[in-house]
Amino acid sequence: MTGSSTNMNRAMERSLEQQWIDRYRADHDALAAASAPALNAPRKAALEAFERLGIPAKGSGNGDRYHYTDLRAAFAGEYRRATEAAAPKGSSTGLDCPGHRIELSNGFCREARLYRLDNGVMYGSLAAAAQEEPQLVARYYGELTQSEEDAFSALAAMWALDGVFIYVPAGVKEPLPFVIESELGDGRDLLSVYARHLYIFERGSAAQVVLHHRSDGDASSLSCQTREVVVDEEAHAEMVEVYQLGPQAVSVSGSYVRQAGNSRFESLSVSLSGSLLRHNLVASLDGRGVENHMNGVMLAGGTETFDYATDIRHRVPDGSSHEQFKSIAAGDGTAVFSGRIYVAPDAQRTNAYQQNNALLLTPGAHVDTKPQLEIYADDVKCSHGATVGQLDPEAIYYMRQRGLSLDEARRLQMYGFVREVLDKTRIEGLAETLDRLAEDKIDRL
Amino acid sequence: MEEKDKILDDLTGSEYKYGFVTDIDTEVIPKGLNEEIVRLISQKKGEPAWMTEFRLKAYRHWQTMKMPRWAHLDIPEIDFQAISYYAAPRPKPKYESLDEVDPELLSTFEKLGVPIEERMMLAGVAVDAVMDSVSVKTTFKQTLAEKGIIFCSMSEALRDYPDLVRKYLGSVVPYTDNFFAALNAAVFSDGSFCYIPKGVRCPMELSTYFRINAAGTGQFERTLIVADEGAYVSYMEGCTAPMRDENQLHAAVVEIVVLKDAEVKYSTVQNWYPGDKQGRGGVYNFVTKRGMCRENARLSWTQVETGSAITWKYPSCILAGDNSVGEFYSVAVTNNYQQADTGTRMIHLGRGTRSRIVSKGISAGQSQNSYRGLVRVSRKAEGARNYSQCDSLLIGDRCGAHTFPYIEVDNPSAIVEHEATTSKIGEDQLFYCNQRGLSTEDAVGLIVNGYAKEVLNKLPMEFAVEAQKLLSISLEGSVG
Repeated sequence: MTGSSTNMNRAMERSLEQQWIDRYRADHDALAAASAPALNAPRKAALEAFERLGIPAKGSGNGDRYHYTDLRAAFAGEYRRATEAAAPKGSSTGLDCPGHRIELSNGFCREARLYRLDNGVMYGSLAAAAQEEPQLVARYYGELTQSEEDAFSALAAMWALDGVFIYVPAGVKEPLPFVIESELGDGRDLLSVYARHLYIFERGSAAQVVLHHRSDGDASSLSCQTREVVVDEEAHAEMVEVYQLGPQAVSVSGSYVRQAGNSRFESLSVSLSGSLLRHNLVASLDGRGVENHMNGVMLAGGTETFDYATDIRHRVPDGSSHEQFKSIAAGDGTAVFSGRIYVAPDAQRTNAYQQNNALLLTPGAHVDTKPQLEIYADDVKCSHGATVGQLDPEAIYYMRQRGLSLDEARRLQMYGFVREVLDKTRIEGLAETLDRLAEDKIDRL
Repeated sequence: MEEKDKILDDLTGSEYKYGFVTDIDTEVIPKGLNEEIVRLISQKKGEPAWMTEFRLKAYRHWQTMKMPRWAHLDIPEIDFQAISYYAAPRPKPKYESLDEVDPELLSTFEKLGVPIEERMMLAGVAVDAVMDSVSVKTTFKQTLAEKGIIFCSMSEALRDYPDLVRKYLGSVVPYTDNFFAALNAAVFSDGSFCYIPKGVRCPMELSTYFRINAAGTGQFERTLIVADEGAYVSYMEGCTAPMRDENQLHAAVVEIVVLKDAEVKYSTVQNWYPGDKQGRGGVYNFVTKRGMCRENARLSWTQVETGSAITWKYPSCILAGDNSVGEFYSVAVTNNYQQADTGTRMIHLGRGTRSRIVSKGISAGQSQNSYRGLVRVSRKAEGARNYSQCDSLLIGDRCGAHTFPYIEVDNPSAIVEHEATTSKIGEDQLFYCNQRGLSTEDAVGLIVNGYAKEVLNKLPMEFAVEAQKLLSISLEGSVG
């Protein structure tokens, strides 16, 4: 590369960040006027963080988190900002899962209100919560993300006007899951969506959350959403997330979980469709005796790119974490997994396990995996395993002998491959729904 | 006495031949690096014009580069202008007798069982006993010459076999490769050149010989090994005995060309000065090692890394030829305040290529020990196969052990597997040993040796024994 073209690229890179900063500056007053103080509080620091960090280039620093996927290209468009929920459509394509339903459109709750149950549970719009429960929201909002140094959680904080708020008070075991149907799109190209979500599970509480992200139409969109999850002492929470976005939808999401002593948090993230799905899953195990389960499935076909970066931080002794991600890449699809297990000095007796298994099915497909261990304490058991391979020919042979076609045999093996992870959910009836969705996608791979 | 004088003369004479000035006491070598210095180095070594040009190109490219910071290392700022790039080949003896040498160093020699004369040489004592080795050197040379094997210093090679050197130098590690490789290409002092002709099996480990040859090759060493079609060689670099070296910065390059059906085994034992117990001083070791494997070729790296304050080293295999095989076996031990970021890169380009990685990290004291490895399977590498295993052992609660594997697969018939574990030495194992009368320190030595056995077994016999002792010594004082 010659000197002048390098300079030119640099100038263009600068202008990409500048475009976003300028866009934000133009929106700033409108955002501030539309929001409660709690939501406005972190905007300035977020802007400064974004100015400092920029949009990470492929393979650039930030703890190697953005090593494999180029997000700069995805952010290069002349995006317009979603300012309200799109008009609802008659037909529902939501998940078949009973529970407390929250409908989100382009980052806004369709019903801008906070529901209150008799047992003290609150759920609904974050904007409404910030008005009605300003102290509660202000206490937690932005707390888990402020020190993260992540450009995309900064972008979400800069623009967010709404999102989902869930609060389960101490000792309450909420029997019904919260089911969030999140829809993207307003029928036109280059829509950008921002949202911040806050879930608080107080001491000894129990709750389940199901999130379903889908696109309304095939128009291009960019979604930048961040979720903070506070899991207090002895609380048990489970979260299942399914991405079914359109062929031109880009989603960059961050999930930041903090667990206090003896709590348990389980998550399952399933990437079924979308142009580029990038997930940062961070769990900070801040109390003793914490248990964390982080699971995921990627089914990438066509030219889809699904990229998970997970970070499990064992900060104190006696924690355990179990992580399993399974990926299938077919067509020209790409499946990326970068996982880190961090064990702080003195976080003794940590037990951490991480696994990524990938199936690479076609010559155009691509798999990257980067499991990492960063260990600063000695009395630990930490391990990880990663495999990249193909379907087992012997198993295929066995099935064909019994009369299955090659195609059926291959599919059956793939179903089984991802089922091991999908069936980990304990939310009633959800495993069957997930299996069905995954099988639909596998059939189209 | 007469004979020794003659040998001495030979030696000083040969040094002069290499292009070094004999009068090192009075020669003022300006510090810093610029084109003039690069030209000066090339000129002093009497190099051909293309070599000077090669160095200059490397230097110019180096200027455009930045020091890599991606490793899990805390590297202090290095002032590259404060270094003298023209190192004299044989520094003045530092001591007059062994009595003046650091007793700690002597006790280490004792434990390793290093012969007394070698101890003196390694510690930098004025000695003539080393000359005994010269006869050995000559015998070896004869045997090798009969087989047509070329094994000499890089300077000699540039003079005697310029075409061979020109053909292969920089072909595996181009000067554009990385910051330290560029620096090395610009200023490399000397190193070894080895050529094994077609179908020849080198009859001996090129190790004992190299040990002698290695003395004083300087901080920017460059090694080039070419195994022609069907050839075989086992090459041993380094030395188990601790090297006290005044040069803080070492940036070596090793290039290995393994042609069709050839096999090269490259073993390293690195035990440079790691700094003292408080982490002061110690060598910075930034090494680029890479081999190019052609059809059916096999390259095996084995390393035992116990020294250096900072190690940055990734011996790699480019498996370009169909059915070529790359192997990497490593034991890396860090203690006190040492930092190591080491591993390998296996680049699968050819069909049916296979690679195997076994890495054993042991961290103690306040040290940081990282494995970093890349396995890349390109689109055309049909049926490629890799297996990696990276284990870390922690001794003490102030050290760190890290694993950073990168796996990138583009071919749907490849099978890549990676496994890593991190744990400490089991209390039960220690208890068992204690019960049977072993001190905790001896027990740790025993367990660590068992743990590292899979790698140590890959070392040439004579070094395996020494390496075992070395492991125990490196971990001394880390328990109890």
